[in-house]
This record gives sequence, structure tokens and C-alpha cells, in this order.
Amino acid sequence: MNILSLITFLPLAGALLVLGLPKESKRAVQVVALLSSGLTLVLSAGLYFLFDRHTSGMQFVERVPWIPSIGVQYFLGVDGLSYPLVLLTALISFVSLVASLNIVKRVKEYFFWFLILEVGMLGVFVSLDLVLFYVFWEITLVPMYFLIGIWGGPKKEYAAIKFFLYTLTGSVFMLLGILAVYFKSDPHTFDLLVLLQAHPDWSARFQILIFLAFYLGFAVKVPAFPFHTWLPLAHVEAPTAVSVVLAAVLLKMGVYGIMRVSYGMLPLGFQWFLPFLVIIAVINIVYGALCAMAQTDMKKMVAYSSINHMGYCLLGIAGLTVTGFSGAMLQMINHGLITGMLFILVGVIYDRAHTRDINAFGGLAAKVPFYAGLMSLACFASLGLPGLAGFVSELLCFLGAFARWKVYTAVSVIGILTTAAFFLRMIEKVFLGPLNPKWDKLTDLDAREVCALLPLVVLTILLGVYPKPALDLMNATVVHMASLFK
Amino acid sequence: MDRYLHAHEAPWPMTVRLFVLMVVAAFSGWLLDRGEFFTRLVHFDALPGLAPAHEAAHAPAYLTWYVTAAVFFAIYLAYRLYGGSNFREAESIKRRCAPVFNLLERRYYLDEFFLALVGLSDQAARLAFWIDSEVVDRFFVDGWGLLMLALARLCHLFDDSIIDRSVDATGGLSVSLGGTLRWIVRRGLVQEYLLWSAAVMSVLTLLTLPAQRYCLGASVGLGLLAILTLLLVRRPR
Amino acid sequence: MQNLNLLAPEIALCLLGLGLMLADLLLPARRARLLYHLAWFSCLVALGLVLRAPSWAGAIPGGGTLWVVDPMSQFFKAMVLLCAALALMLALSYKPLPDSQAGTFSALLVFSTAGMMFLVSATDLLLVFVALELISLSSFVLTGFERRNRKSNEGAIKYFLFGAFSSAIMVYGISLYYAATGTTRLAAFTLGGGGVSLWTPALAGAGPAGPALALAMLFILLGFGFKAAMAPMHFWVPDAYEGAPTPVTTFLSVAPKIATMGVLARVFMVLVPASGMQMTVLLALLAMLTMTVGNTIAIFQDNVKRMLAYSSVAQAGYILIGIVSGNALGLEGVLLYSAVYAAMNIGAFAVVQAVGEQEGSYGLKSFDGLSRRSLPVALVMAVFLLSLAGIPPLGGFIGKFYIFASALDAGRAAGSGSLIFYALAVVGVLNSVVSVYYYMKIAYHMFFLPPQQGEGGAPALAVGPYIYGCLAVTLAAVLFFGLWPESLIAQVKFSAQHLP
Repeated sequence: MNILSLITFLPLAGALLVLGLPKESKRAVQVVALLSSGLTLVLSAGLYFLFDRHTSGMQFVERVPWIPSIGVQYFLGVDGLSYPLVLLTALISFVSLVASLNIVKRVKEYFFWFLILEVGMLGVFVSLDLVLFYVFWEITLVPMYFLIGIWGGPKKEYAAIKFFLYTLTGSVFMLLGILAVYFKSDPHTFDLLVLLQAHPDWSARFQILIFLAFYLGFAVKVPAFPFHTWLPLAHVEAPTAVSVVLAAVLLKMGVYGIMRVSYGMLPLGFQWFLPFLVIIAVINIVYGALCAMAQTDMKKMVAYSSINHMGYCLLGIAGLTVTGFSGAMLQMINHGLITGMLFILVGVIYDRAHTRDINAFGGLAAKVPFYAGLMSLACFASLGLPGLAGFVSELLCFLGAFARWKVYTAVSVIGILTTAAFFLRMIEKVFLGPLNPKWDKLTDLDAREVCALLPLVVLTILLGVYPKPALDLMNATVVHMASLFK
Repeated sequence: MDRYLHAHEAPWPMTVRLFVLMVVAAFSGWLLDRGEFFTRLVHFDALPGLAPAHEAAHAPAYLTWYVTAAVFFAIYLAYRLYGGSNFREAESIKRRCAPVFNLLERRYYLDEFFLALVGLSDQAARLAFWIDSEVVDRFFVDGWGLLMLALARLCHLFDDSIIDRSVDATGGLSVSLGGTLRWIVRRGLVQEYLLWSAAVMSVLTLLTLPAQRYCLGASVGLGLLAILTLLLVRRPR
Repeated sequence: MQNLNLLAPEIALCLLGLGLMLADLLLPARRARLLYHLAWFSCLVALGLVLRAPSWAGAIPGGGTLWVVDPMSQFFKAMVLLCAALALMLALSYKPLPDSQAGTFSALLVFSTAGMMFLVSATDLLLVFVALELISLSSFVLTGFERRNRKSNEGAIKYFLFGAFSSAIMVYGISLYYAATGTTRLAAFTLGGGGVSLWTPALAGAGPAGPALALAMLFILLGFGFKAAMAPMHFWVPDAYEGAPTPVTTFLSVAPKIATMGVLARVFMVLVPASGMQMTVLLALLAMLTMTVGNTIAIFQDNVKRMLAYSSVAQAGYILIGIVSGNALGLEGVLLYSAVYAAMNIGAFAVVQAVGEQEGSYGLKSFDGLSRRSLPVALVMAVFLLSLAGIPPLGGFIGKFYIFASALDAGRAAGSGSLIFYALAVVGVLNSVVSVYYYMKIAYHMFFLPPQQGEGGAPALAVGPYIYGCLAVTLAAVLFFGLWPESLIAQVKFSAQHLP
């Protein structure tokens, strides 16, 4: 069954179609883009019913030799770790395209690059051959460079090239790691599944070195302290929909890489790095939240809160328990939904007011109640209010990590407190109090924005009250992964 | 309040009630004893295992007579003190036992004591509230908040100035290196190109010949001198 | 006579070159452009002869003294001929080239190509030297072909002076080699009873290399380094590339470089292995220096031809990594990277020529808003730039992948001396990142900035049929070798087999 190839490359077909359309027919371009992304979403969602929840092995596998001379295969497959991320990618891409319908300049190029980006993201999560994984990983860089650099904010060119160079620096070390692993394996192979079994023959020194090489690549993406400074810049300068995709999906590539590649393939290296990983997780959580609190630009605040949320993922991973891993994986999904929502909402107000400074507003809830309600919902979900999605995953991460790292987990709780503090402060400054007469003419959410937000809102509430469907998808794989660590 | 300080006749509904009560009170003892009614009312069987060691106790008979005598004496005393038109005797007793009288009148000063206690607890409450709002809330809670805010600003400053600048500096390394290398050939003169080529070639030659490594230092020094001379001497155009 | 048959492609090409010069005398001026067509046709004829040659099946040493014709040399000859044909395509649409000199131009280009073909087959230092001189002398004139353009003259003079200097160095090295081994042969093949046996200085029991031999190899390396634009012999590159007519720049940036890399591979990997001479560290240092110099100075350039000149210096450094590795993967990497590099560099220069000619200047400003003027061309240029930077899924990535793989393999096999290989790999990848910056600078001008004449008034880019053809061929090559490199890798693996 070639369903995974179809899912991965359908956006490419859409992109090539878009390229062929004349640049004046904006409506046609938008329709083609939405259709191809929507079809991808439908197919990925369809897999939900065919997905076998009781096995931790790879499903829907496709294996074709690509470059036999050096042992590279076109090898795709999903399991409990990657399938939820594929679903997330498809959904977020579609939602972002809906949110991009208000782009007016250079529409054709925008949708072309966006669809190429979607191909890259989907490919990363489904590849099981390290070279293929690397190829898709790098493919996501180029569209991001153009998307940020052309349609972004005031410092867009700087943000775009910094993002490109920073991420590339990390991933070239990953390339060296991939090559090193290839030559160390006997027989030489790039097949991830084979390499996951090959580590008992590798010395601890080798594993630690190669773990560090891979970690450099993943750490920039996560983003882990101290390789995180590209994130606030890129997020703030990128256009709304690109920020959504960046936060919701691209950051997950880093965590996915750590869980899939580093943890499984280099356990001794992982074990050696574990104390540092916890410290970095705690720094991400606390330091990220503190930096967010110092912001007055809403988008930058949400950007730093993303750093904070990815810290929870790292903490969950460092716990090395089933609970911890489930928490980390679920947090990836939930953070994607919640932060996607937050960025769209911030984009809404920026479109209308052309400012994101929280001090410039006041009492908006009287003028735009629907928007205020949704923004409050998103903020509460982000700070981990029980009943909404964020709570479940954060709880699982903390629970999973507490057994092994009591003090660090206890310190991380400060992160939750600080998150609550700055989100509530933002709500208070922007929505509560007397209406700032400057914003008398604000309009509430329009149909496009509601359509973009609706699936995210529904899923946030659903996963908050009933996370079982999501956890069921991951369970078999998580149990298998946790059992790998001795 | 004054009207409660002087005795006065009760209104007639009250008198009627009192009269009824008086009759019942006077004769209730005798009435209740008809047909062993009261005895049967309060009778109980002892629980098994809890048999009384001795017969049920009865109040001694003499106690009843003493109580009745005390009652009649009290009625007599009341009549003597307050039965007349004036209360000269009552007044004199009151004057002579003033402290005792006052104590009894003031109900053992319990009211004052109680009010003083209330006042004290009021003050304690005020103090507690002051501590709570000024010290605990402002200092510990808001203070933590301000501390966190300050810490947040510090973290953000650290992030921007130190970490981000370090990242930019590593990028700047390549730029600086390029700038230096470019500056070397800024004049575009072929002879300078050849000089630099020859210089590097000499270094490579000396690296290739292991026996002559000790010449390396001297040659490199001479070469650098030549280059320096070239760069510093401004030739007329 | 069998030996001369093996040289059929070169002989044919030389004769056709002479024929071009003759035709130049006979053809009327208005038909002069026909000579370009004849020239690229001759290249294709030679290519046909190369592909048809029987020596693909195995190495057949020719001449016994001066040259060998084996799959590796055939591979490089094919590459070089394709480069020459494409460069002539570009020359057809390059206006400043006077039609009256068409014959001279095409003949020189053809002779230069013939020189390269001799170079990659050579196993004797005399032939190497003669071939190098043939290439160089033709290139000097080609560089200075725009007589009225001062930059062209400047570039040609600098190229010439530098070339003279490095020829002198090379000859000195050859003489030292002669002193050390008593011959100028790099290898000799003797057809004996059982088959072919190989003699090289290394096998001749010379023991650990004496100082004369080591010094000889160093100077020969530096002589090659001039042609291949390696540091420290690269100083002529920016001025020559900037001044030369763009088709000549295109040709110079790919063909001599590839040919020199071929002969470097043959000399330093096969015949006189660098490892046997303890030159590995030296070569590695040179590679690192080349890459760094090329990439870091390119950041500052605002003339696109100059920027691509420095970039080609850096690309030579990457190919050199393959030579330093010294293993089979390294040799294959050199071949693979050369092929892909030729395609992407010619493509990039084709776009540069089209833009520069229309705008009248080769500054970065000429590229402003190219995506608005002609989105397909801008995207195609972006593909070439990304391929040069080594971004998947393009051909350049496959090349770099192979090169870095060879470095890591060499490191793993080296045991105690592995540090230099790992350092080389790390420096290589970091240089790739630095190169992204200036390649993306061009993309920045193309995509992010509005056209110089304003959004509405910019004319679409005029792309003639020859440039179009060039772009089509090179784009197809870059995309094809990026997505389905198997065919190329199989061919390269076959070609990299050598004697013994």
C-alpha cells in the first residue's frame, strides 16, 4: 500500500500545479493549495481507522531501493510515535493554509513554498532511512527561508537567514553523525530499524560522540537552551501562518529526532547525557517562562512560551518511564494545537491593530467578546488548566519525571506558575479593564479565522477531557520504547 | 434602660400565667406522686451485668424538710426587706455590703471582662490583618512577584545580550576571517599575489622537509618581515 | 597503430580545431557564427568517439610511456567535452564577443579542451606539462578576448603572470622528480606474459620518500594547484573570472578544474599515493585553507562573477577532500562531485550571463527582483545556488555527501592518524554552512528585493534559445542526479576502477 507516499507527496503535486498557474489567478492558486492539503489531511485521518494500536512495529511500510550502490533506501513507515505527528502536521498545514487566505502579495509563490514545506515536514516523520530523513529535514529549511524572508515582519531578511544558517549548522553535524553510524555498522547501512538493533556492538565513547553530533542537530530545532535564540526572532518576524507551522510542527521534529534516533540508536550516549538533558529541560522550562514574562510583544511572549513547553517534552523524555514518554508525545500534539491557536489569535489582532504591544490595548473584551473568549481559552490551555489539553500532557510529563528526578521536577513547577502569571497578565492588560477608546472600531473574528481556529479549539477541549484516543495511538510504541532502557 | 431598674407590676396576662404556674408548682410534687406515676416514669431496669451493688439511692428525707424550711425563710426575709413601704433595711444592708452587692449586681463583672476580651481580640485581628496585607502580601507575595519580574527581565537581557550575541559572534568569525583575507589582496597587485603564494609555498616546503624544520622559524620570520615591509611602505603611484 | 586509435578523440578534436581555424579564413564574416556551431559539433563528435571507445571495458594502456586510456580518463574526457559544448552555447548568445573573431575563439576553446583530454590521460610528467601549457596558453588568450575591456586585459595579464610563475614551479618539481627517480614517468605499464604489470616510483623500492621526491611532489602539486585554483595559488581567480567574457569564465570555472582534479586524483591517489609520501596532512591543510579562503572572502563580494569565482575556489577545496581521503570512496567522490559541479556551475553562470547582459552589469543589484521579472529563471537559479551549497535533494548534496563519507571512512580506517580526517570533515561541513550565506545573498536579491525599475515597470528577462538550452540541460542534470543518483554513482564506481 503506497498510502504514505501518497500522503507525503500529494502537497508536492499541488505545489507543481500551483507553479503552473498564472500568478494573476489568486483564487485558483488558493483552491488548488487547499484541495491538496485538505486531501492529505483526509488521507492521514483515514489512516486513523486502519492504524493497529496493539503493535509497536512499523505500519504501512514501503521499502524500495533508492541508491543501492551506497545502501540508501526509500523506506517509509509510521508507528505510534510518528503517526500522531503526521496527523498533526496535516491538520496544522491545512489550518495554516486557511489562515493564509488573507495574503495579498505574491500569492502563487507563497502557496508554492508552503506546500513544499508540508512535503518536507511529512517526509521527516515517515522516513525510516537516515539519508531520506536527512533529505526531508533539509527540505524544510528552504521554503521557511523564503516564507519568512518575503512575507515577514520588519526584520524578516535577518530572521530568515539566521534561521537558515543556525538550523543548517546543527543539521550538518547530524549528517556527520549519520555517516559515522553508517560506517560503524556492519554491514554498512542507513536503515534505521537495523541500526536501532546494532548498538550493542558500539563502544560507549563512540555512542557518546555520535549522540552529541545528532544532539546538536536536534537541539537547535527543539529548541534547547542555549541553542534557542533563533526562535523568538523567527517567530516574531514570520507571517502568522508560518509562525503556526514553525511552532506546531517544526519544533516537534527535534523532539521526534531525539526520541526516535538518539534514544533508540545510541542508548549509552543517551544515558551519559541524561543529567545534562534534565538540566537543559529545567532551564528551558523556567528560563523560557521567565523570558516570556519580560515581553510586551504578544507574539514574542508566545514564542518564549513555546520554549517553555518544549522543556516539558524534554523533561518527560528524561523521566524514562512510560508515563514520561507518553507525556512528551502527547505534549507535542497538544502544544501544536494550543500554540497554533495562540499564534493565529495573535495574528488576528495584529491584522486589525497593526501592533502587538500588550500595553497598547485595554478592555477589548467589550468590543470583541468572541475573540477574547477564544484567546482566554487558548491561554488557559497553554498554562495547563485541567479540562483542556495542556493539563494532561504536562501532568504526565511531571509524573513521569518525578520518580527519577525529584528536585528538578519540583523546580520545574515554577515554570507553570510563571506561565500562568504572564498569560493572565496579558489577558488582563489586553481584554479587561476599561475599553481603550483607540480600538473602538475593532471587528470580531471573521469566517476565515473561525474556520482556521475551530478544529484546534475542538481538539483542545476534546483532548483535555478525553485524551484516551490520542494516548491509545501512542501506547504500544511508548511501552516498547520505555522497555528498551535498562 | 432606666425602666428596668425599678420593679413594677407585671401586666395581667403575665399575672395569670404566673398564677397558673404557682398552682402547678405548689401541688406538682404531690400530684406526680399519685399512683407512683413519677416513679414509674423514671424507672429503668439495670442492664444485665450492671446490677446495682445496693438498693437504689433515695434522697435523705431530712433534705426535703431543710429545703422547704429554707424556702419559707426566704419568703419571710423577702417580706421583711421589701414588704414595707420603704426599703430602709434593704438599703442599709446594701450600704453596708456595698462591694458584695456591686459584685452581685454586676454579675461578677463578667460583662466588662467579656467586652475587654472582645476589644483585645479586635486589636489582635487588626494587627493580624496588618501583618497579612502589609508584610505577608506585599513583602512575600508581591515581592516574589516583583522579584520574578526582575528575574524575568534579567533572563531576557541575558538571552538577548549574551547568548544571542555569542551566536552572532560565531557567525561574525567567518566574516572577520574573510575580511582579513580580503584585506591582504586589497590592492590587487600581481606582485603581492605572487609574494603571498611564494610565502605559503615556502612554509609548505619547510613542512615537507623534516630535517629542515629548524629553519622554519627563521624563514617564516624573514618572510613576515618582507610582507610587513611591503605592506607598510607606500609606493608612489 | 592501436595506440593511436586510442587517441582518436583527441586527434579528431585537434584536427577539427585546425579545421575551424581554416574555416575562419574561408567563411565570410556574416556567417562567422557558424564556426561556433561547428565547434560545439566537433566537441560532440569527440564525445561520441570517447563514448564509443573500446577502453570502457577496461584499462588499455596506450603508448606505453606517456599516457593511459582507462575508464577514469574517459569519464573526465566526457565531462570536459560536455563543458566545452555548453560553454560554446553560451558564447553564441554573448554579445561582446566580436563575430570576426569567432574562429579564433572557438579554435582556442577546442584546443584547450584537447589539452585537458591529454591531461587526464597522462602518466608521464612531460605530457602533463605540455598538456597544462596547452590549456593555459589557450586560456590566457580567451580570458583577454575582450580587447577593449580593461578588466579583461587585467585578468588575462594576472592569469598569465601567475601561470608563468607556477609553470616554473612545476618544471622545477619535475626536474627534482627526475633527479629522484631517474625518469619523468609517473608509471609504466609493461605487457608481460600474464598480463599488465605496473611500475611506479612507490613500487620501485624507493623506500620512504627522500626529501627530493617529497619536494618534487609538493611543487608538482602546487603547479596543479594553480590550474585547479587551490590556495595558495588561487589569487588570479577572482580577477581573471571577473574580467573574462562570461562564457570563458564558465568554461574556466569548470573544465580546467575538473581536468586538473582528474590528474591530481591519478597522481596522488593511484600512482604516488599521498599516504605513502606522508603528504596527507599537507594536502588536508591545503584543502581546509582552500575551502576557508574561498568561502569567507566570497561573503564580501558584490560582483556576482567574482563571488562565483571565489565559490569555485571553495568547491575545489571540497573535491580536494576526496583526494585527501585516498580511498575508493574518495576517488569516486572526486568523479561524482566533478560531474555534478560542472552541471550546477555552468547553469549558474548561464543565468548570470543572461541577467548581466540585459542589465549591463554583473553586480548583485542586477538580480534585484528577478523573481518578479521572471519567476522560472529565478527558481532555476535558486536550484543551482542551493545545489552549490549542498542542500538536498539536489545533485550538489549527493556530491558533498559522498565526499564527507569518504573523509569519515578514511578517518575510521586510519586508526591513530584519524584526527586530520575528522577535522577535515568538520571544516568541510562548516564551510558548507558559510557558503549558504553568500549563495542566499543572490537569492535574497532575486526574491526579496523589488526590481530596480519598480514593481510594475520591470521588463521580463530575455532568455535566448542557447541559454535556454544550457539551462535545460544543466537543470535536468542537477535535479536528476539529486533525485536518482544511482545511474551516476554506478557509472562513477565503474570508472574509478584502475590498475592495478
